[in-house]
Amino acid sequence: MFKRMFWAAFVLALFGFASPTMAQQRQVTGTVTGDNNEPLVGAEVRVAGSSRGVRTGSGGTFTLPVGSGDARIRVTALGYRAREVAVPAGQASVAVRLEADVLGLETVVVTGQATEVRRQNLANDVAVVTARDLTDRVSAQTLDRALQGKVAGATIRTNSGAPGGGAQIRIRGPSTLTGNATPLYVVDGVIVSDVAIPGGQNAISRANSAAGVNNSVQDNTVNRIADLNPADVESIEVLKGASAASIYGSRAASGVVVITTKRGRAGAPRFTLSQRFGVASISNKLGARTWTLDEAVDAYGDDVAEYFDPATGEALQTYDLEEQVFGREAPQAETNLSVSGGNESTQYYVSAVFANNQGIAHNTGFLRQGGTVNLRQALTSRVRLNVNSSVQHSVASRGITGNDNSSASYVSAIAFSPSFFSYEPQNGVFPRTPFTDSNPLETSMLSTNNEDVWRIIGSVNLTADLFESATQTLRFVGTGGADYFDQQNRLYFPPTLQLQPFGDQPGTTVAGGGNNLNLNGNVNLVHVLEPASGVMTATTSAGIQYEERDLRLQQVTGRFLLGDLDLPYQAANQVAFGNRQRSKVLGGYVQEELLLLDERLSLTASVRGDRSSNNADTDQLYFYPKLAGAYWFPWTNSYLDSFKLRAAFGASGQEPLYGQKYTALTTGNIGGIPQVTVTGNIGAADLRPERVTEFEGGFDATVLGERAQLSVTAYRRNITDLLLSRGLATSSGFVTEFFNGGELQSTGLEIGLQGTPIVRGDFAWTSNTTFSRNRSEVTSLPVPEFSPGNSFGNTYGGYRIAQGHSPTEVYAVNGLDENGVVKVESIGESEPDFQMGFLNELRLGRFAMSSLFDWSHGGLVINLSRNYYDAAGTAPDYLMPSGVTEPRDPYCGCLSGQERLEYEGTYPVYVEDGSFVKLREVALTYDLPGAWLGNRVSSAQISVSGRNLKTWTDYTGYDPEVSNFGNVPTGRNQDVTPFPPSRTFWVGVNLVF
Amino acid sequence: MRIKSYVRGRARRALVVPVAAGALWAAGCGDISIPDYNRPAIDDLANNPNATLINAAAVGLVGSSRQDAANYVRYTGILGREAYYLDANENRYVTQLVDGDLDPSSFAGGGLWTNRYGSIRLGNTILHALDNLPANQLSDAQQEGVRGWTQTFKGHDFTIIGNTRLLAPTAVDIEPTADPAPLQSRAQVYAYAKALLDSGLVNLNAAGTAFSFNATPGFTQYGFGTPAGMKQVNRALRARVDLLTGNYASVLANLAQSFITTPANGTLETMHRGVYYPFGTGSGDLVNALTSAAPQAADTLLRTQAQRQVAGDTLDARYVRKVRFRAGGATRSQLGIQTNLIFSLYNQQPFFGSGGQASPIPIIRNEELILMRAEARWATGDLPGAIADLNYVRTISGNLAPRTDLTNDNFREALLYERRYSLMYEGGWRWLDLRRFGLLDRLDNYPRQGDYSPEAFPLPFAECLARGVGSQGC
Repeated sequence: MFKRMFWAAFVLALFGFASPTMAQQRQVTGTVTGDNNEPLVGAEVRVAGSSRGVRTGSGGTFTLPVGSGDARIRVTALGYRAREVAVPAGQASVAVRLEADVLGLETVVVTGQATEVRRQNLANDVAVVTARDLTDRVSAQTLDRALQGKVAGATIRTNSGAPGGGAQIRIRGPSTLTGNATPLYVVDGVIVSDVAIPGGQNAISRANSAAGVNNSVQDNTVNRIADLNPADVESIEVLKGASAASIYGSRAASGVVVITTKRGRAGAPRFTLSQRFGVASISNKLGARTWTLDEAVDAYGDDVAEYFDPATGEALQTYDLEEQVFGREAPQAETNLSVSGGNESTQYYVSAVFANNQGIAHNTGFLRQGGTVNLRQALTSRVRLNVNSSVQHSVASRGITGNDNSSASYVSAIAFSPSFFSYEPQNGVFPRTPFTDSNPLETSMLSTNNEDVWRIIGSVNLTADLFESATQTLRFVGTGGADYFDQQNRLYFPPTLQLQPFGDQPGTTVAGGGNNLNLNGNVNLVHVLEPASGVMTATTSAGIQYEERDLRLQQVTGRFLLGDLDLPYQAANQVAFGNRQRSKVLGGYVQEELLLLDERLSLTASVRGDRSSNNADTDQLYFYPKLAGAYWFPWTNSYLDSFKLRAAFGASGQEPLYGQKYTALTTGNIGGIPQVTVTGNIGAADLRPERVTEFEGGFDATVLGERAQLSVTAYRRNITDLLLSRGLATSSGFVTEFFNGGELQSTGLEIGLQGTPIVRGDFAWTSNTTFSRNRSEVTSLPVPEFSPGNSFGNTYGGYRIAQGHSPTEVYAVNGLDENGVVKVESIGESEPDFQMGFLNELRLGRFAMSSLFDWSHGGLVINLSRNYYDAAGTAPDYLMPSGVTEPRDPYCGCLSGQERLEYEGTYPVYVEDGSFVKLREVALTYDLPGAWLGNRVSSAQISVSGRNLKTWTDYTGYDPEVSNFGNVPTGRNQDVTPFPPSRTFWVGVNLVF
Repeated sequence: MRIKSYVRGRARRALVVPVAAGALWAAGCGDISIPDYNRPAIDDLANNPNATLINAAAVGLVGSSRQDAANYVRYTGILGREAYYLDANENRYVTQLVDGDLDPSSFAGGGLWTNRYGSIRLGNTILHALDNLPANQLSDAQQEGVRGWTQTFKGHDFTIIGNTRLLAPTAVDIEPTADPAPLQSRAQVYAYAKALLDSGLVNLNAAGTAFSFNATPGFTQYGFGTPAGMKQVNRALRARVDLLTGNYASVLANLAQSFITTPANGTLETMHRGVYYPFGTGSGDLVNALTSAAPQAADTLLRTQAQRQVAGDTLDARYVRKVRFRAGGATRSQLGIQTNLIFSLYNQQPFFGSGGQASPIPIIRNEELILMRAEARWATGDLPGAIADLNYVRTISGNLAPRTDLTNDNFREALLYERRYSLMYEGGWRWLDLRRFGLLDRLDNYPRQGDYSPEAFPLPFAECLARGVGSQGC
């Protein structure tokens, strides 16, 4: 008897069911007001423990049916702290006053496929960025740029200054060496694609000699998260590691970015219009050498004497070639419209965007048009349906920059041109430069390089309350969605250009791109138990998830064009490539979340298991557990308002990329006769996901009357079974093998200080300061150290995976050893020592000023662009200073171009420190007084803002934020003639009516 | 509409655990395997072959062997100072290949290795596949044909490897993930190549009258796409290795069985007889990289040191055919090297075909065989025979007057001149010839002070790392 009771009580404590009671009901009325006694419309009032409730109408009043005995009601409103109020039996009305939620503690954070937790109870350090901080102040072309400097622990870097997207988000350091380096993106429950498809630029630039689709990562690619309209985003949560993202299983090792788009609110239709105009211009130039007659003849021969005045020895005219090619003052325009509204059972949000952002070079820019419809409908009192759909169209024209072997890249052509020669057309004819193989102004004005993308994302979410009682609810949550994009790249380089990468086949055109379909769905059951005693809240959830991705790439390159024909299908010589990558993941999970001790203690435990088609054994389930807890201390003193301690442990994985497990032959033909050849890569027979385990701990302390919060988080992340592509002895006939082995460990610290420290009457100062640092190390490597590809060798600086070292260390030639042989060794780290973000807003009455500074300290950059200028003799500091006859100390940082060339191959003269402080955003806004507005407009705001206004750095290249190879796990920070950075000024108006 | 809960009491309690477990169980069913959409698996060739796959692989030997052909001609051409590659975007063609300081981690120092061994790996895979081939796919003679073809190509690939390195492994038919094969000396590599060619000859003798696969255009052009023709090619390649190791008697013996021919009314066509790497511009094919792009340049000494033809003031016909001035007499310069010459060879003057990017690169041809015989005759004491062969090439290919003043002492210089112009920009012969006669120091300080031509390429960096050595050379 005792045993049975014990067992029953135990099960009840976790999962207990009880038959519903049909209690008698009474009506309770009341009002809800805010800080300053203003009535709150749309606040939600419900019986504590129930998920159904009513909303307050105008005047903040409500009427709620409750049980006849003592009742507790719970009142929540957006932007305010939640409150529970007792309504004793016999009391029929109640007044509730809510406090503003300065620190966002009431923000609800998604913790799984179907569950949410209030930030106050969160056991992980999840970063939340709301629309206000994202693009409300300063416009950003893409979502990843809008997040720069705002998420502690995330290093978000653009790859070049080209318009449109192309940025990498790396959370808590490198999370893999060969796998997928980018986080998982979830938009309204749909896992969306962030692939970057090479656009075919390689056909012109020949940066990668093995020309094939997906073979060239040097095409200045844009990863497709750039398609999302930042203005549609309500909030972004960044789950930084396995301890938070464990529920996403073997896709989550690099973190998860959960994006929620804007929803409608009950009420009359509310229109918003945001119109901005701006101008962009180049923000950093490299400069060029001034030549004298003698120097020029020495370098180029007697033919160049015609550009000089023989009497003075000076050039007849000096040209700023960077100004000629990148000197446009490029206009920008952006319009965002939205309407939202609804009633109790239906809420809608509809938006449209039109943006036209021109680039600083001719024929470059980024256009966007799109629309979104989000609908929430209560089908019955127990069943709710959410439908989100979005159609986006963007066109990115980014010119040709980056590495090349055909002098196509604008900056590389500029590097090889002396400043006494002009590229500008004379009588409509572009001069042929004898100094290099292309005229970049001609190339930019007469060629086309467009990436045209249509993207459709749709999701449907159904929530049904299956069962409800006073203490328990059971609901079903199902989500299904699709993400489809079609990318068309069109390149056209006419036969009349000086630039001809294949001289005997003038004219090149490429039709390339691909399409991708992501399908995913999940079904979940969620059970919530809240006993009347209020001792705990237990949420149990379980679910299954299925996901499929299908990417098809194709490219046709046509050469030898006739007339004006610009499609490859009519070219005399055509080459076609194509490729398909598809994968499926099937998984399930069980999760238990407990809130105890007056909601001060929260505990979470979960297990996820999944299988992936990219593993060698597709039937094998891999399990990822999680355990986390957070506790608010009950005592406070005069300094400390509250103190929360949290700890979390979790595991997740990184599945292999499609194709890594196969050992295949390459097909082809010789004059039409079919052939197969050995391809060079082997896949291990037991290829499996990488395994990430993370332990994270920290505390949050709120001070100053809950107006400010200090968060400190420390973490240690261990990745085992790394997917490694190790270099084999190439005498085996194979170049690389994909296998699992080795261990990577990252440890780090994140500190955030946010709040509103000063509030005096009309003046308020809101601040958000973040600090993060990360150290990574390869703690175990079962094979000889190897170069992970994507670098230019040890002469300029490259990367190597070696035990006991960080995977992002730079290895280069570093002097001679005692035998006179050049040493190759690690000379430093390419990731920053630490980063800090400073987001501050000062508000005085109707005026507000905000700024965002981003400080990155440390980190090396490999500056190959400088080597181009040196080799060409056009570097502004080329000549050795007068009086210097021997090359000076190679590490002095004072070298001239000639000295660097002397030392090239022996000393790391092209590796520089990439520390920077950037003023990323500045905005000044003014809210127009109500008297000036008519009765149609409810609020209006004018703003002046700027992006990327100033960079303070010792780096001599264009921008220390650079990656020639795009988004890669290791191998960033290589600067090879990229598109220069630009600064933008905006003027705009926001209207709400 | 209310969704009622009809399951009550204890049964409800029992509902939950299976639901939770069911979530994980459901995740375990269903087949989610996906094939490789893009390429056939190597297992298919090695363990489950059929005639089509074997034939495609045999053609693939030409394909993988030719991957490197253009780079081989270019890099060894620069080392021999016949050519330069003056590319503003890639100055390592000068700072390494002309300077002489080759970096094993770059394409210049570490090149000419991986593709060759890839070809050898394919060859070994084919040989294993033949052992696993079902009985009715290919006849015994056809199988011997494939074997002979494969062994011949392997022998040729090892010869090229021996040309470029002082050390290289030969016993590479091992598990790719096992410890790397031990390094052999250049002499051992050449010996291994000879053994492969000899073994290939035995196979070809039993191969019947035709191959099971379509020999590629570079082979069928002059009728060498049959076992009988390949036997002659095999002996020609064998004679070449003998020449490189100085076994002159063996050179003569093998040349006698090759396709060497010196008819009385010989023409340029006679000189071009041989086998070639084919290239094409079709989809899925490979183009000849020696034909395109402005950076390719020829050395000015080719012009100044060319002899004059019989009639008039024209330079050596081989020079006139293969080299010309740049358009508009322009000079191309980089880092102190200046030249106004460019190759017409491969572009406008292919060995056969219409030229351009489909232009073939020779593997071995009659002109080289005749010069080999001249050298071997001279070295074994038959000076008149040597002079006859040398003059044959001089007059037909170079349109020069025959030499009447040759003796044992000045023959070497004459031979070097003929080989330089006859085999210009074809296979690094300038470099190889100067090296094997110990005369590489003739290239010191040319074209700039401090430049030199190294004896060999270093072992590639990846090879060093795999053997546990990480510094800039091993």
